[in-house]
Amino acid sequence: MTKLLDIKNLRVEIPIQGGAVHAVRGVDLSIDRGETLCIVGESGSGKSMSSLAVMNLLPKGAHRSADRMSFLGTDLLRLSHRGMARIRGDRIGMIFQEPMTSLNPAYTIGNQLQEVYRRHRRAGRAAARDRAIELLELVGIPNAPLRLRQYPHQLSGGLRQRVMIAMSLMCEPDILIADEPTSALDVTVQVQILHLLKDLQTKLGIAVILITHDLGVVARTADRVAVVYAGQILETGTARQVFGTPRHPYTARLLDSMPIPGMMRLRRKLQAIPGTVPSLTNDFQGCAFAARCDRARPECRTTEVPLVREDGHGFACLHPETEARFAQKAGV
Amino acid sequence: MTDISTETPIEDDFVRPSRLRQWLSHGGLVIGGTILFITIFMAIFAAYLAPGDPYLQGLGDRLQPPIWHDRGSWDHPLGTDQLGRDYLSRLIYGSRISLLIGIGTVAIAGLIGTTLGLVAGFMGGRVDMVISFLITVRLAMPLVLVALAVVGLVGNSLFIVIAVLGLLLWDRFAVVARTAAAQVRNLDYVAAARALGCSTPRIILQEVLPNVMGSILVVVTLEMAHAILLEAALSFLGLGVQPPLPSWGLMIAEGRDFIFFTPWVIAIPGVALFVLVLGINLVGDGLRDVSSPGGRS
Amino acid sequence: MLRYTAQRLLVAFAVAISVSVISFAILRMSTDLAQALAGEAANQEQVEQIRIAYGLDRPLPLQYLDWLADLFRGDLGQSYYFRSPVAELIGDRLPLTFSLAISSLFLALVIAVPLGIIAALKQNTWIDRACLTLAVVGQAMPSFWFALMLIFFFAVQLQWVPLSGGATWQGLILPVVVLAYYAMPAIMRLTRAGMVDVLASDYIRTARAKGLSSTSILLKHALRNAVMPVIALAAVQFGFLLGGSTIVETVFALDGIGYLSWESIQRADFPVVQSIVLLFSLIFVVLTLLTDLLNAWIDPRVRG
Repeated sequence: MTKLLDIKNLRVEIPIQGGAVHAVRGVDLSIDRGETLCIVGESGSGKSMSSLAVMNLLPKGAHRSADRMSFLGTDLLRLSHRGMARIRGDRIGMIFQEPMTSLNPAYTIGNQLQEVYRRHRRAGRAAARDRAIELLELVGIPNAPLRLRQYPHQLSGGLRQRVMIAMSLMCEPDILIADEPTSALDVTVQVQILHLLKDLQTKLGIAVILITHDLGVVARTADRVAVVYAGQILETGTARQVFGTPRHPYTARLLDSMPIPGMMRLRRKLQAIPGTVPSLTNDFQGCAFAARCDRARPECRTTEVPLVREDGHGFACLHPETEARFAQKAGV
Repeated sequence: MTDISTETPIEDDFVRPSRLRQWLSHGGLVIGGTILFITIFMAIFAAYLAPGDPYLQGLGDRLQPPIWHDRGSWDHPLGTDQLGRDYLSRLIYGSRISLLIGIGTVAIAGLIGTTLGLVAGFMGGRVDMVISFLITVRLAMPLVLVALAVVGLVGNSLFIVIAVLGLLLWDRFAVVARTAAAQVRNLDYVAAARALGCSTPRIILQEVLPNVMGSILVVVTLEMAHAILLEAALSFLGLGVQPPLPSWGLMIAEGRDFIFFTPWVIAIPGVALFVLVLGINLVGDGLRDVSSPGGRS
Repeated sequence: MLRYTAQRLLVAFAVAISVSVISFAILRMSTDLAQALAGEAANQEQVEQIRIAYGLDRPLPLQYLDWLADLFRGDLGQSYYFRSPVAELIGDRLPLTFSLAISSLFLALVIAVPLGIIAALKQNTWIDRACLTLAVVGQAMPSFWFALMLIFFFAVQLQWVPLSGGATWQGLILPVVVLAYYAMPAIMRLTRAGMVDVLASDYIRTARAKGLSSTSILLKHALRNAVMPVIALAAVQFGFLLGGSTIVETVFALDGIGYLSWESIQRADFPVVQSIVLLFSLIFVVLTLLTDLLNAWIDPRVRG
């Protein structure tokens, strides 16, 4: 079966004065129908850049390249601007971190919802309106006809994110990319939105790429996980594999500091991992995490570390962790 | 939920170049600064730089053409005016008037506007309402007309022009200082200073003022340019600096009748005025760019 | 919206009153009105008669109220020089000054807004720099000198337009160009800045993620939000252009309000000067009030 989205060796460079930031350095990603892939990493790790690269929505000046970037057999790299615009919002939907500013303040919710449908489906006003009401009800917004006439500022953050989700699903896309969809929301609303996403996924059978820095979100939603660090994937596999037997020390350290579900009140501040992330402006040798890794040996800093796979569980480490743990902790 | 963002130190990728390097790499700032420097130099050393006496009339050689003209001569490199006065000397001495107007006006207007703005922004509430209202009233008055009327009423001299412009051009200082002070007001260190029982004037002077100086400096350049242009316009209309002072605006007015045959008597002081104002504006734009990395405009 | 309107109306009214007090003060500080009305030749007794007849012996606040009452009746007083009602003098010249200000504001907008948008779209390219240069040069240009230079090139050298006077529409071309170039830089820079902000905004990213066409993104989503502040600026600029008409009308010898104000200042004809100051201020107040309300009406966040 062909992959829905298949990306090999994705790279993103952002030119700055006297050089370039290598924000993404050789990332492989793929996703099947109906699957949830979580890309987890710190801010600046290149996780958002990867998704924007897929959508060809990178900031001005940023340059993407890849050995392969195919969506249902279409080569996204060779697609014209127009061709890509036809896929965006229709076949691949995307929602963002800031629901407060992601909607245009000058137009009603209805206008902004219907616009996508009319663009991609060449639908009339009435059909688009019906579809918009249908979608608002689907994402759990009551009183949809009234909401259509409202402006974004009249809605709460949680509602706006629901509107964004509805908007991205207007044309029944194959993939929904959600870039930190809950980080700007209150904790209780976060949970609701995540439930909604999971629920919609089972109902509609769409694939979801969820980008987050929140391991709790990953534990709740992921089928497969990719842990990114300094523009590279350090570990990838099914949620069970990554959470149950983390092989990369970085993943292990992240999980070590993760609280146990159900004991949220005991939540402690995450212990910062000592050391610094390597500068993304230069090429560095060896493992990106070596400077902060307590298992690092001299060769970690000099040898190129390839991503090795065992049973679909990939990790880029010369001295991987061996101990199984956390299976019950993560609840998977 | 577990948050793995934020706390990780990241090596500083974008090492900022030194202040001076940054300033020098800004083309507009360098050009503007050079123009301003040359003008100030000219104004200070006018007595040494000017080839002749700017007031000495020579009825024998009136309206001599400048050196690039066929009949030009090195006796008067920029020619002479309708009274036979050496144009280059008048131009050099004229820079004193423009700079004096610019600096004097900005000193008065800056003091009034910044004080009002700081007080309004920092105190908020009713004080802010009153001062904002004053600003609105000031903005509603037609600037050129009021300046002309007041100068016409009180009589005209260099110092009256400075005083009138100073009393009129304070609005932008007030607006900028008010906004900046209102932003600073709620910052931690100001709250701390308050908690320590510092008096309001003291907090404004020691904690707030230094933080708004950057924005004020930009307004200083803008209003200096504005004042110089206004003085020239007032003098041109006969209600500013009085003859025989070599104000550039006045020189243009005096040359107006000769536009048909000796257009350079208008062109030369106009170019000087334009270049000086351009230089000051470039410095202002440059300062704004350098102080806010977000970009220009 | 109702509350907002009421509030804005109140402020505008207060500003208008303050401006009228200032205009009144200008007149009364300037001269002895009774003496001026009686004329140079009048003796002391005649002057006193006039003082009583016109109520000029009464306390100043009362005189102000009288003056204000006259104002509401459209009576702006008598010109010392023309010996005719000020309202008439101004009324005769208003159309010229207004058409000058409106045409130049229109010209400035038509040029500056598209240039600002193009500059924002082509950020940091040579097009952007060329637009910026045009603005910077415009800001540094002394308008009266620019006017003289245009006269020299187009009226004296090329003889494309008449030398001066507003008798024909050709005579208005140069004044309009001068005023438009004066108003242009600020409008262009604000349009560019607004557009740059909007283009970098999250909702434009959303619009792109929705797969909308570039035309729709630009025209529907970006332009409307970017141009809103320009409306307010245009109103302010109109006020500035009226004020600037003093200079331009004088240079081009156009018999409008600006020229009248300059002549009246030189003749110490203060009732005229005072009325023009008041008129321009009131126009400014009304215009800013209208744009505030218009902006509120366009922007759903304020309207709500």
